[in-house]
Amino acid sequence: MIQHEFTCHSPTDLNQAYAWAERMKDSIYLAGGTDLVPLMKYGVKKPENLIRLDHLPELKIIEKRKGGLYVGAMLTLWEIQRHPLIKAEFPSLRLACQKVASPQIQSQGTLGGNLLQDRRCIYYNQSEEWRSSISLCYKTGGTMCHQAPASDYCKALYYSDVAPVLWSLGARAVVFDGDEKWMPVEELIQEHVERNGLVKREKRILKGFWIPQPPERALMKFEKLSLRGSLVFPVMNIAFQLSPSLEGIQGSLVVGGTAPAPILLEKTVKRMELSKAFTPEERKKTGELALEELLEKSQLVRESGISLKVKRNTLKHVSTVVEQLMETEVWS
Amino acid sequence: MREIRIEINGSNYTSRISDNLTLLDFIREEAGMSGTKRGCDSGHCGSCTVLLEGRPVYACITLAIQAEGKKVTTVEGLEGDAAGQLHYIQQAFIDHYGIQCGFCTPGMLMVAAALLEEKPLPETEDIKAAISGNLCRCTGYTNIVHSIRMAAEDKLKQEGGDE
Repeated sequence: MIQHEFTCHSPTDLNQAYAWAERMKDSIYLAGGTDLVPLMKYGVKKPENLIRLDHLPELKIIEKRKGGLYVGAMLTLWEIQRHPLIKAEFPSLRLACQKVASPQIQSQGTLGGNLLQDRRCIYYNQSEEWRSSISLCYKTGGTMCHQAPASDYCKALYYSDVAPVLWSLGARAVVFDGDEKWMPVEELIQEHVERNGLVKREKRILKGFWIPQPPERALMKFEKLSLRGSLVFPVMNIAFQLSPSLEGIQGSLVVGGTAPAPILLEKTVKRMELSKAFTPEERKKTGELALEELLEKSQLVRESGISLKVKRNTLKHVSTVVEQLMETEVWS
Repeated sequence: MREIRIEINGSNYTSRISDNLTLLDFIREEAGMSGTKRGCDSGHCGSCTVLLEGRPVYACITLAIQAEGKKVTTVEGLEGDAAGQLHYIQQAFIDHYGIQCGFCTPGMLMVAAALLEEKPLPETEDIKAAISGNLCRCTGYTNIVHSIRMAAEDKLKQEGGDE
């Protein structure tokens, strides 16, 4: 049983759900609940009202739309990895869904919920009793970060496995706030992680994602490094979709699990674009640049079960991924 | 408080509950079935695993109202072909020493049941992936993986022999 009492509401259409969220002062949307319910058990979150999204069929649509694929935010990670269109066209998204936690979490956790998951920190993901001995941090209504007391924002890490993939695929998020709005998924991620470092709550409903058809000869990959195969969050995850074009290299390379938000390795891709030939020496230098860029942009903090030294060493794998990427025939 | 109905192992259970009750509480306290275990109580150890509409979920982090009107299968719902007979996966766990203290076993059985329903003869990697959300502190997993593999092989042999 969850210690505090709350009321669950089950709206049957989007307008009703959004209106209730606007009207009820202390409310949170409930998707699969695999992230939220443990936080409620810990007493980290104590909403008075939960607004369920699982009775809204329009959030569970998956279909070809406008030269791409539309994927509803309330589809479970299990449903997505089994869908023939995902299998055929977006193997990196399929693999990311397969790599999230355990089969039990994949059965219930949703695509939208994974993207909008809470950022985690060893000072935050603790029981109420444990946290009662320390002062409030940015995420709990205070004015400091326990990980970095001099920081003017929350440094908790963002571990979503699907976020780097959707970003690399050039996805657009479809949100509802009385009207439907489309936005680049990276914009939604950025807004989410900023809000999630404070006690602000999201009232907009994430309806789904539109993923454009991959360009011809696109190279797509997702890789997750973790201490054990499952249950733990990624030490690092890497996603890319890159393809040669007349204008240069299209697409992006994104790394997650190392900062409060996924990191776009734009300098690395730019160097690839400017390279005349992917010689062994050039591949090595670009791999080194990828690590340099990642270390420069990542904001490592203390995590449970892994030292900063091990984490830094793990990040070196990004060089291997980039070198292997440059070895593929698609560039010749 | 609200009245909800959940179908557990083919029987309907109706109770007046508060919204903060989990599915695990409902199964153990309202339906009176203690086979589903409370371990970490926070969605990590897998000992509370049940099947919700055929898919494994952690009952400890599922709200009871999320299962309202749905079908739940617990370890008590695993049955053999004849009355009083163990389910073939349960029998394989006994025959191949897949159990030591037994606390994780109900959860392990449920993920194994879901796996073999979908893939009757899984590869070892499939079995490892299926039980990756379940912790066992005794066996080192080797005999659990072996038991599931043998359950699958024995079942297929038996079905082949029946034809």
